[in-house]
Amino acid sequence: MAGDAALSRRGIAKWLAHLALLPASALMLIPFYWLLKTSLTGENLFVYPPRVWPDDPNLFHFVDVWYAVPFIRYLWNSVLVSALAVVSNVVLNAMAGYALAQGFRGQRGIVLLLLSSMMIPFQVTVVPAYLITRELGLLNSHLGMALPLSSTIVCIFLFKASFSAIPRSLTEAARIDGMSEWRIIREIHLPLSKAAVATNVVLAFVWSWNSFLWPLLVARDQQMQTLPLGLAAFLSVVEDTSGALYAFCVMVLMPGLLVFLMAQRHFIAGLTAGATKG
Amino acid sequence: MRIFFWRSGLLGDPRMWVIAAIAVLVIAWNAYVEFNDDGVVRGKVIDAGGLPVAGANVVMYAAGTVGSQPLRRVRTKQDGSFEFIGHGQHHFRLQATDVTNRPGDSVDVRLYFRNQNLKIDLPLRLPEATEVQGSQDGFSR
Repeated sequence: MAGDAALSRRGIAKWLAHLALLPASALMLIPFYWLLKTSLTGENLFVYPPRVWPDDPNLFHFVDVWYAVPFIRYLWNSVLVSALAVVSNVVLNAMAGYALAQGFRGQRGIVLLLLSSMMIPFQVTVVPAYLITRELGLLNSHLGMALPLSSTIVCIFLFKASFSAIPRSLTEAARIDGMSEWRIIREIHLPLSKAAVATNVVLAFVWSWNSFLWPLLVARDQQMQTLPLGLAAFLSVVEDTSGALYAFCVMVLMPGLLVFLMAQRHFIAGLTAGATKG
Repeated sequence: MRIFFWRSGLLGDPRMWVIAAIAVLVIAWNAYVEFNDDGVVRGKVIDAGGLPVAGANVVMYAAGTVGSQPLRRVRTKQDGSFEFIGHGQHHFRLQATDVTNRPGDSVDVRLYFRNQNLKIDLPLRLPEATEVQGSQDGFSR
């Protein structure tokens, strides 16, 4: 009887929490809703009084964008750069995270170095990064655009936290069985750290997808531009605040949103694990 | 192949279904475009009394951010109908004029893809007192 009452109280508390979270979620989603509504109606963003519901929604502004810019080319550049960034992120961060999780002489110094590097904004290192990319002959290339995002310190620590949670006995048993370190990472640690991998994939994808400054410096011609660069160029040509511009914004946002929604369960689990372990 | 997908757990993964649904939509849309992109636009011109007008001019203007410029012009047939073929546009304006170049109705047309076939249901209406007297409209043909 007492158990039932406790369950009921817990249920009511859960409902109340959701009731409070609902308007908060709605508030967060308003800008996205407004963006979508403007892209579907073409009405001026600053029209007064503002209309909440879309009036005669249609997809024609998306069609305008499709034919006004080389969208497929921009999309391909963005996808390729993001794919390179994601793959190299998972591989390099997993390797670094594994090394840090296993422990080695001078590890503390390396960790401090990595942590202090996180304090330096990218804008400070952009000139040396540009010079290095030029020396490597990677200017105006997809690899050159993905290079600065090929490993991120936050995600190294994410992997370190996840790998540290795996019992050492498992790793040692694998070593006794004659597995190489590469195989231990690939066949034991990575399959047991799906949340960390998903988090890294989502973060690397979103960071590289939204990256603006670096592709702006590296891409030399229109054929190498990514979606954010195309959007900026489109804004300078269209010079208005309605319709096609917002349709373009939605088209740029959609892939990232899709990736996030498809991996959100693992993403949230990974972030939570990173926050509580290591 | 099916067994591979089933055993690997890919078929049970809702994310695979999302990707598959997007792929199906893209293929279906491209198939629809493939069969409907002859660029045929059909419509009709009527006078103020609602009767079909033969020999009236219908001009197609490009529409968009760069302004509006005439692209093509055709003359209506005996039954007042007109037809553009291979227009190559996704956004244009049609303007009907009588033989003395007096403008009638104009209609802004937006399409979902370039060269889409379209039948304009609402006829273009010319102003009153239209007289069709052959080619006196000044347009070069």
